[in-house]
Amino acid sequence: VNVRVAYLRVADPPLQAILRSDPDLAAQPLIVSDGKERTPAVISANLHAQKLGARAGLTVAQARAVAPEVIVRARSLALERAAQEALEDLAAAFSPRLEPRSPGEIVLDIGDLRRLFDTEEQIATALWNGARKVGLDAQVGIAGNRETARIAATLGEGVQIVPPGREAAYLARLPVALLQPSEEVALNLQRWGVRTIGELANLPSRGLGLRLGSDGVRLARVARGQSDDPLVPRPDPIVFEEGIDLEWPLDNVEALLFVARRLVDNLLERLTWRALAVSELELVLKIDRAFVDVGAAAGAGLDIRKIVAGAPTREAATLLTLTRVALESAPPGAPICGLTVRARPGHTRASQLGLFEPTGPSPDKLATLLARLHALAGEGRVGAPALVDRHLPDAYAVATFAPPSHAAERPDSSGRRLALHAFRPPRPAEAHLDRGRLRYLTADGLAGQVVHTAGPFRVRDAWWQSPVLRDYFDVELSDGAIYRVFHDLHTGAWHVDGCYE
Amino acid sequence: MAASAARIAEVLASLRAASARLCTAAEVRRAHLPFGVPALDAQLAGGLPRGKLTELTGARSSGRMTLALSALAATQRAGELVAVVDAADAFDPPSAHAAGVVLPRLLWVRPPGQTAALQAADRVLDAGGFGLVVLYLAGVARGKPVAAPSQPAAAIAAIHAVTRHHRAVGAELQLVVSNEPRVVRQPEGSAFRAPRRQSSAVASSAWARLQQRAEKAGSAILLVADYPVAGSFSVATLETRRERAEWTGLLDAIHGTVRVVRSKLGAPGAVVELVRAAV
Repeated sequence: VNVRVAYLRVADPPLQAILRSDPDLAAQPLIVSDGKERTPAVISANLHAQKLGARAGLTVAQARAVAPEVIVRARSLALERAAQEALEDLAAAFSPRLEPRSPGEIVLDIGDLRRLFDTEEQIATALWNGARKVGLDAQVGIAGNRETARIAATLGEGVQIVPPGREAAYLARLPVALLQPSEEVALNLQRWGVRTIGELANLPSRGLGLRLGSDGVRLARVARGQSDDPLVPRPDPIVFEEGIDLEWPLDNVEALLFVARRLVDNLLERLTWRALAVSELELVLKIDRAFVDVGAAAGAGLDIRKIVAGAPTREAATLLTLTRVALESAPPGAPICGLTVRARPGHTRASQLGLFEPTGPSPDKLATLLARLHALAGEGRVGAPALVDRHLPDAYAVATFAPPSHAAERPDSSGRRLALHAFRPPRPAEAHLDRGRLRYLTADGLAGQVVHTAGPFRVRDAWWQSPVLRDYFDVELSDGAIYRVFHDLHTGAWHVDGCYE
Repeated sequence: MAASAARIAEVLASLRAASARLCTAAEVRRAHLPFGVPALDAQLAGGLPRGKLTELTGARSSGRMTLALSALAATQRAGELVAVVDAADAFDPPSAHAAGVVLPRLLWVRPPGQTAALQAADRVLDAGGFGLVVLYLAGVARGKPVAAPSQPAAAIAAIHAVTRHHRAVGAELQLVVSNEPRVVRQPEGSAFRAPRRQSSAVASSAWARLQQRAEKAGSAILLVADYPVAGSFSVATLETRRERAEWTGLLDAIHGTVRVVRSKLGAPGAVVELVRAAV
């Protein structure tokens, strides 16, 4: 079997994770500290900072002394985790067989991609471009096994492709240290005078096994360009997450939304790669430590908001509108020093258009519309009306609006009935009775003498939980309108619950 | 042989005639959506025009909801999706089902108030794909101030008659206590339920915007209100009137009429009878 794998490698993940969340920093000298409170050290520096003399290994104070204009950012594990997941999402868009390696590195099986791409150069370029889209500067190596692909990604600029069967020749002149042997094996090889991978490949396997053990045999197989272990895939994530720790606390909604926008954009980019959409968003607001009680429980410093989209959507504007509504309706009680956005993914609805039916809204547009209407009207106030199997004449439900095809649903209008303009909630009424007959009726917005009446029509419902016992009447008042009125036999109260239209 | 040649010529001729009748997809979509009341559709050159706003006004129990449900059902029968933007929260699903509306193919939005309703209608039209959007403002738009009746004594007498019973107030009018005692509100305009934070009038630009959206989406808008509110932005204004109710122990039917008050489609002034039977 002709195995081909691609290796995606992001050099310097802590630095790239920060640049991904704030791309404007790329043009400035930037160093990343390890985040320790006492004598923080520089763990990475971009090219601009390196040119000024700031480099990894110095303390932040030393770097600032060398180059006062450098910008210092503390390492953010949340950002690094999000960057790694973004890389996995990108790889998953190309192949389901992928294996995350160390941070910033992923290997994926591209053996079957030749059906979609003409050449391996196209695959490598697509991966490289994809990484740029998710905000990461990656290198891509393609070879017949993962170690060769890793070395190609490490040494190459941008993309590097090792042609099939040429792995051994490609590796032959490279230093053996690139195979990352253990310290003991590296020492032995040095003693033997083995400098290049080609020299290692020429050594007999049996002798290597006797002297270096299984590690030596594995290295020799890699050096000869032979396929190594199979990929160890991992299941798809259930929740997608993007987060940021803020340099200083934010205390207004606008600023928070500005930060949230970038996180949501990054999330949507990742979901797009997996052909998913957001069905539920969770905002985790980290409250400034100064406002949290010292003895409080671990979760006390978090304010978690759940935002449910009307239907799975990939519209940033819709999600941000929903976020704004959630934040403005109940603003956080204290400044926020960190924000994490978690998305529970869902599939956008696929629909088959009918040949002889008028075109409805596209699934994407419909999802966005429903989400926007939810934000505008509120929960439970947008959807398809549904009947409920109860005796109460005003019982109804609201279902999710997912219109079936025209042919699938036939109207059932067997029972003729006067249309009702419902009063929700039913308006409390004052009824004036004379010898048991309704004479006058007043309620909010209506009043008059009773001209005609029909009833009572007794309705008994929900006897097993909260019993309802009502007498319904059709009542024509002197204002000319005809109302549906009920008398609650438990409470004795009268209500007008609609007007026949 | 000659017979088969003649047959072929006949088939070819019929095919030519059929192809001459073929039309574009846009033409296939009818220019009007039916109300479902044949006499009324005839007066309106086919029903509700696509891309236009039609107003339906009237008092309580005059048949506005019946006509709106009829239009929704008829539009659905043509295979279209429909939407109801229900600012009054008055839509009754059992009534709609009985009127032949396929509930799963109806989008029901209940925005809080008139301004939100206009926004919701705007968004529904912007998404496209809905043949008919019913904007139901009956009982929500504020009653417009009108002059007091020419015979105040009659009104006072009516109030006296009612107060004798110590219960009801004003059988026909709600008296507004103000510095201008001769100003009253129309009974049908629900000044009573007007939500807070709501202006009494909608800016005309809102109607113009809705009209544009409808035109772009190819949808018809049916605006249901107590009295005309969209002015010249509506292509036609229909007024429903309640004439009488039929009672034989039970409520059997409500008789009324629909009058084309104003129409750019012709036939203004036409009156169509509307009978709503209960059973």
